[in-house]
Parts: sequence; structure tokens; C-alpha cells
Amino acid sequence: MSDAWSIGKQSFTSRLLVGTGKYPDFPTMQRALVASGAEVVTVAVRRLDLTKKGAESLLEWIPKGMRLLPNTAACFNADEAIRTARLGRELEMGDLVKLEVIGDRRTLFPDVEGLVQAARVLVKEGFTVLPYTNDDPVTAKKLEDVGCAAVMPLGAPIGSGLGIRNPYNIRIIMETVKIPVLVDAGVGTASDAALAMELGAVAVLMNTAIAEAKDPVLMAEAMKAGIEAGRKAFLAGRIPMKLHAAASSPMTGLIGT
Amino acid sequence: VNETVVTKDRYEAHRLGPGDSIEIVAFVGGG
Repeated sequence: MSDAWSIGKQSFTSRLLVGTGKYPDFPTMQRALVASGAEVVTVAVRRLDLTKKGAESLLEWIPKGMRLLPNTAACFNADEAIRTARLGRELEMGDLVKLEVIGDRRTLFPDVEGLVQAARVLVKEGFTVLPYTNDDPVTAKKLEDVGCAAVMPLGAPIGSGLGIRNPYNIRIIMETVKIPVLVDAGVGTASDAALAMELGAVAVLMNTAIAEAKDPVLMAEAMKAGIEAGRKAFLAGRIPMKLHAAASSPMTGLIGT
Repeated sequence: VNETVVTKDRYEAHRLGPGDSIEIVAFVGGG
């Protein structure tokens, strides 16, 4: 059974998107990326430090065939995010961009006003915009209305590992918008990824949960399995929750009656 | 240059002037 999904003109089979930050070293990152089975990896755009001669290039360690998704991480207003997105495109990585406009340094929660403003500009410039946003259905609808290709509500604050703190809002977002919903940020372990998929997310994006695990490669395998299990459970359809028991064995022909 | 993106198709035509501020960017690890 083919279970591909798409954003804009891009089609994917893996529903796990992974970041490239925080790994202890490039070889570990490379092994984890392979183990994750991901087809899309996020990267950040930063000034080149010309004093660091001989520094290794991140791109040399990203397995061939993986699609790069430049982000606008650490941009604190729409103008910074727009400029960063344009720079990413000039690095010949196409029009796909993970749009972040951060509103608070402590929580890294999005500035949704700036996010919608930046999304509107970038969509007009031909970008395929994937915005990292709050788990807020109203903002998700605004992002859809300005032409974003998907919305990526947070499960919990970036790097927190708290899991899906508001599954009900994630469900409401899925009811509210027609574009793909990806859960981005907050995943701590494989069951969090599975839950996001069971809720009906088309995919999950994560970084810290893999990169800072004791064994990043093993965690990448676990996340891959969690994503696949959650997706299958979503497609299979879970049973309704009941307050009381419903026996699995027949209640007739009981021994001793 | 001076916080404006110079696209590749404008490299030949663009001329740097005294006091211009240049940033060169690259991809680094990120989530």
C-alpha cells in the first residue's frame, strides 16, 4: 500500500523529518539521519566564520538524496525571517522554507503576528512556506489563508521533550485547515511521535529528541518505528474509549455454572 | 551586501563600494 504524502509539488514516503543540530559530531549525525529513514532534513542559515579555516561542512555529512529544508530559526521579526529565507534560496536549495518567527527567547514560542506577515510576503515571492506555529487553530487558518503549503504546530516548546501537551488543539487544527498538518517540536521519545501520528498528523519534525539522546542512532530507529506505528494505528482506527470493561472472552458456557 | 541579498544573476553587475558591509552565509546544523 502506497502511503505517500506531499507538500506542494514534493512527494515523500517517510513521515519523519529530522533536524541536523545538536549532534555530538558529524559521523553520529550521519548515522542517525540514515537510521531515521527521513527524506527531509532541516538546516539553519548562518554567517560564515572566515576565521575558522578548515572547518568541516555540514553538507558533506548529509546523506545523498536527502532534501534540505532551510529554516529561519532565531529570527525574531518578519524582516529577519524574510531575509534569511531569501538567503537560503540563494544557496540553491529551492523554494521550500521552514518559517520561524520567534516571539520569546525563553520559550521560543512563535510571534504569530510576525509569522503570518512573513508568510504572506514569502508566498508571494514563490516560496513553499512551512510555518512553525503555536497549537492555535485560529493562527493555523490565517496561515492557510495567506497560502502556506502546510502548518507545523508545536507539540511543546522547542527542545523541551515534553511531548504533545495539547492533543485536542492539534485535532482541532486538523479539522480547521485543509493543508497538511505536521507536528514540529516538543517530541521527547518515540511514543510522543506515535501519538502525533495517531492524532492524524501527516508527519512529525524533530531534532533534539534524536540528537541529544544517549544513543542518537538507536533513538532515530525508535522514532522511525514510532512514526510508522502511529500512522498505521491512525489508518486502522482506534476503538472508542469506554468507562467500563467490555469482556474479551465469552460470558456464556462458563465453567462451574 | 548591506543587508540586501545579491542574487547570483546579479553577481556580475553588482559593484562593491567603499564602506559596503558583506555577509557570506552557509548552512549549519539546525532543527
